[in-house]
Amino acid sequence: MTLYINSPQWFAGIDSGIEFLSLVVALMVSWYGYKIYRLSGERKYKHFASAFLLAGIAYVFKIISQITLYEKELVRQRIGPFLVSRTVLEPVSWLHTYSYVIFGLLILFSLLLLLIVTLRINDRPTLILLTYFMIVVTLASIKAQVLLHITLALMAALLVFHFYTNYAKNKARQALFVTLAFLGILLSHIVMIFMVYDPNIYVAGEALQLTGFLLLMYAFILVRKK
Amino acid sequence: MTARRSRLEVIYDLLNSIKEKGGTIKPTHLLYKSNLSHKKMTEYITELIGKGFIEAKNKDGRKTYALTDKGLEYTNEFQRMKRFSESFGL
Repeated sequence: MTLYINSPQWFAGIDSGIEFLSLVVALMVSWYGYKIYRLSGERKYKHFASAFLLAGIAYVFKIISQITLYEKELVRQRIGPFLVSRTVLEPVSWLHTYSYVIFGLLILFSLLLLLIVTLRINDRPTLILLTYFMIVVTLASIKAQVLLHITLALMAALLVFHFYTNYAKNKARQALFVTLAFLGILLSHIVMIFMVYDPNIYVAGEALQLTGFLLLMYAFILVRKK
Repeated sequence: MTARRSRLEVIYDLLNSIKEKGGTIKPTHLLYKSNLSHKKMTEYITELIGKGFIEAKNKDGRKTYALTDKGLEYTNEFQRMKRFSESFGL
């Protein structure tokens, strides 16, 4: 099993910071959704809160996969009469791979749950089929990482369409920012599809994800404002 | 035709009716103001008592419902919860 992140060296650690911020925003939204569930007893809020909680946990695993991607290793090389020592970064394969797979599974189920709640999918056979596809995509993405981002982009596109329709209906500012936030997340997954070609594409994808979650945080602030 | 109220709105309407009456209301007044069937209102009342939003009291031998601090907090939080719900089209 080989998975890797085609990231420039200078970006190592910064990406984990972006995931941490995404995690915090996801947990904030989850907490408020759960609060509404506790007050109203409506199951859709429980599922909504669970979707963002799953996203939050997914980002924990993504951070683990990023920080275990490389470990410092001292390499000694003899060049003529000189012994040269240098530190290189070597991938820690198994922990990185498994945490990335768990991230993939959780983030897929997070978006699936969000789609189920927002599009009101109640049909049991459809739910079983969708769950099966999420597991298949996760397993297939071990060999072809691009599959994960294609699937996430498709799911995010459906969510953007739903949020835009919702905004067109109620014209609320916070609904616009939710739409823009998910547009940012959609674009980040589209960009990530091509990350194997250039390390800078990964940086662009992470920057778009950061923009998406910052917009989501702003929407949340607008909601919470008195 | 008006849209069907969500549970969030029904609960708010019930609690706000009590709030507007000074924090205490008779069951008949609440039924009239809530725009619900007797059966539905009883279900909601049982739930609201269970959640600690209201409490049943006996005033001069007559039953009344009183808004608790938690219920008051719900009415204050309602606009934000509604905004949140509308933002995501829930």
